[in-house]
Amino acid sequence: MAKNVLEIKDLYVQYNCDDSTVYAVNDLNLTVADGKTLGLVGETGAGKTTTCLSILRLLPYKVGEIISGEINFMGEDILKMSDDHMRNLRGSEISMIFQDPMTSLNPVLTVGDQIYEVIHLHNSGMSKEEIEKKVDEMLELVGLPAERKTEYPHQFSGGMKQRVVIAIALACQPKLLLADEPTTALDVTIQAQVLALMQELKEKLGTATILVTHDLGVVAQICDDVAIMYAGTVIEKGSVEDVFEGENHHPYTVGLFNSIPDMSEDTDRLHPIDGLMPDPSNLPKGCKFAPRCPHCMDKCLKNEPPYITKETHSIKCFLFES
Amino acid sequence: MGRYIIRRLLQLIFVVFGISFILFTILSLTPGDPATLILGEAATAESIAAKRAELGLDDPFFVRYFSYLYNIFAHGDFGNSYRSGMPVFKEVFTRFPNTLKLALLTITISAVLGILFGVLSAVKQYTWIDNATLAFTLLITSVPSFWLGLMLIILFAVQLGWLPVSGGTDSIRGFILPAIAGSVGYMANTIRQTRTSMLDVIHSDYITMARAKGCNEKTVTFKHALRNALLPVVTLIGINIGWQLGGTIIIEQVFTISGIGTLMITSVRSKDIPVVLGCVTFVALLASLINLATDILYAYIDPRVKSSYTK
Amino acid sequence: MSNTNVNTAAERNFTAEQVALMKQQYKKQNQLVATWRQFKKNKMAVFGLIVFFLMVIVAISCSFIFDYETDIVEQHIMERFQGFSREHPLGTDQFGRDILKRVLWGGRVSLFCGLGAVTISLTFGSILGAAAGFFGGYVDDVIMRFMDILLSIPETLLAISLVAAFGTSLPVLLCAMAVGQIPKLSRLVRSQVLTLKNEQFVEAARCCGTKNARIIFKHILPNAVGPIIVNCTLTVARSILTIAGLSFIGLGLQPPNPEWGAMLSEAKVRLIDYPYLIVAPGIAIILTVMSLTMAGDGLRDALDPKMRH
Repeated sequence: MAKNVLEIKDLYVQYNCDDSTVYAVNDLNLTVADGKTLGLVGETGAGKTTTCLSILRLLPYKVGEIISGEINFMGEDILKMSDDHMRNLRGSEISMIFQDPMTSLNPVLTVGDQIYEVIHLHNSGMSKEEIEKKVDEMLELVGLPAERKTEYPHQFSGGMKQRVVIAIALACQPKLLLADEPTTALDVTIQAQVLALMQELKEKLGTATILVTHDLGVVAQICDDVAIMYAGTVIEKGSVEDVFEGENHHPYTVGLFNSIPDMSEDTDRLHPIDGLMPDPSNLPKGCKFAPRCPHCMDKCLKNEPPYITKETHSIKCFLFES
Repeated sequence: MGRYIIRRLLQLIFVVFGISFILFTILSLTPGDPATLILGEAATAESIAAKRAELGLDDPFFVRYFSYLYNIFAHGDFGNSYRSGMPVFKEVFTRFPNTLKLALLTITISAVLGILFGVLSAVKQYTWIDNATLAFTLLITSVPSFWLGLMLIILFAVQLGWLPVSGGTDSIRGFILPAIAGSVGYMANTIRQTRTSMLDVIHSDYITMARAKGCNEKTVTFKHALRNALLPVVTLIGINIGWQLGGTIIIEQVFTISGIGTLMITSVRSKDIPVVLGCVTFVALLASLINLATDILYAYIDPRVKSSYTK
Repeated sequence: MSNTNVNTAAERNFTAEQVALMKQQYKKQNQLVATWRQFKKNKMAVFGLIVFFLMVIVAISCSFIFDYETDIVEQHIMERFQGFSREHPLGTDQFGRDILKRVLWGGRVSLFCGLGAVTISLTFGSILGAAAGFFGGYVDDVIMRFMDILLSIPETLLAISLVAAFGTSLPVLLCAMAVGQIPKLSRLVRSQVLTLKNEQFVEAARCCGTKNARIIFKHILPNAVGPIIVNCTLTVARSILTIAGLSFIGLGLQPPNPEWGAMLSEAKVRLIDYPYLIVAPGIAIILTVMSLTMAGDGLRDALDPKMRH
């Protein structure tokens, strides 16, 4: 059986603001298998980016706080590591791709320099020429001509910038890649290209990936497993077949799938889920989705539902208690 | 790049003409008769009339303005002092070195300390260091530089005897206290600008990205953040140099340094208009040239600006 | 005016424009209250405001408590250079005049100069800025070029040029202080006018005819007023420093006027023997400028929507 590259257990993360506390991640449980891609799906504000930043321990200083839980990377708890050890992990074992390629690259350094930096940081034994060769290789790998490494970020288009970011993230062949909505800021045709690239690289390098997205289409295309987040917790997870084609689903998942407009049907109106996601500084007791749930029962408003698991498919809902 | 420089030079020329025109207009409206000023009250009416003709004082305004400009460009002649009869150019240039030394030292102190405290304050935001720096900045913005100068004289020159009371000596010792006194105002705005820029930059995605690559905090601060944050600060320092040249007047007065400032004050008091005009125009010109140099420098160090001009 | 009122007004067949107006007013009242609440949170800013008000009170009451001739100007050579005493809490200066009284009266002078300078720069800056923004095109170009040139001349030098030409009378000095601030203010007003020129309710109002010009003023002012007040507060602070500097070098208010800069210039002559003479006027300047700057900065932060969280 493949080992799990990442195991998150009972994670709680909050942001301490001036006049309120934002409970961004609540009781998060998630695993990523070696070499597999996990799609992390949810609306804006569900806590997906916070999760990624927590894995790398890059939450904003003082404001972001990991309250409790475990994040086990290759068996070791990240939250117990020293700062130095953590820094060694970042960029070499675990990498991240950010959402907006326009702001992810340093404007005053050349693209080549920025790729060089990440390789040099984690490979102090390599000579300058060796690293430069690697930089060229990475650029070619993501589909950019190596000659362009002396150019600056503003000389590249959005899609090309994102390729550079991918090159930087994969330069040290990490075990785990955190991709935070890598294609959201790009237009659809470029999106397809970048996704195809990521798919290709995943097959070539065998990197496990957490792909954060709110686009179910993307999940269907390139993910192996799915976890659906709502108000800071995972309410349903399993393989892509489980979540897309299984017979039981969390009511929120049902709502998500129903809200996708169907090209073959004649409709007058779209079917969004009624209501709004709860204010993360003022979360309701019990199941966080209960106020919006068409199947809400009394006990849903009072108690946190447990995970009901059938083989690989877990749903956090009282409906499936047997 | 060349096109950008040429365009800015043309702008500069336009501005220079504008400055000289405004100043010439203001100062030619001075009441009082220059001829009488030069020759004294006891002069006869004929000699006064002759003097007026010699100086072209009865010519219409634009004739006077353009002959003024012509003299400058053709002969480098800025006119003669009403008081001493010496060429204005000479009066200004003999005193310029002192002012320049003072200005350079002042700007160096304000820039170095300003950037230092600004970076410190930004990196340690929310700690006592940040609050202390902000309080310090507020304080020094409110302190008049001449008062600070007087206090420094009392402390260092009178009580402790470490440094001379009046400056303008050949050694640099005479310029230290004046430079410190004059630097505070500019230090304050440099601290503020550096801090704001750094804070902006520190919260950017590429900084988080740098950390995600495994860079340590020192690298993040200096290699990534500072290089971006300093760009607007460079522009500010350029502007400060220009203003500093105008502001040395007061410091020179406090420390009795023989520079352009003291020249200006004596000329204003004695209504020696050519000298006042020459001084002010000279300083304003210098300030504009420095601004131009700063803009060009900025275009070189910010790759985004540079490439838009070197396609 | 609560939100519910506005909605029912719409139901009662008010015109769309009237509803927009009421919504705008609701927003304006709310904005004022919100700004004040945010301002109050900043202790330094509130402190600055209190000190400023105290100064205004002192400045106004000066003419009632003291008599200019006897208390401020008249010299009592026999009593000079006295230290702190009950009769003269801050001592006496080289002419036997009571320092405390002179410093307090100096506050009146400084505030008057500061407010005078701000009035002038506000008047001219607003007119020029509004004209540039509203008419645009050629007018805008000419005015802004002129402002650029003014900005290229260091402020102190510009002031000195005016003094050189026109002397040290009060109106000239006020203009000298104001002229350096006009470019910044006109640019501010211009950008506010430009933003609002494109707002929809101005379009709508214009369509309905000129009687709505009054409405235009009622809309433009609330939004523009904030940054302008901040600018004015900081301008008063700068002007006080400028006039003190000018008086110090003898090109501003002349002695025996108890302006703080003039007092310092007189004190400089006796600096080595009687250094205490520079303390009181200096502290007065620092306190005044600092409180105004704190209040101005506090107001700027309170208005900034980004700072609200």
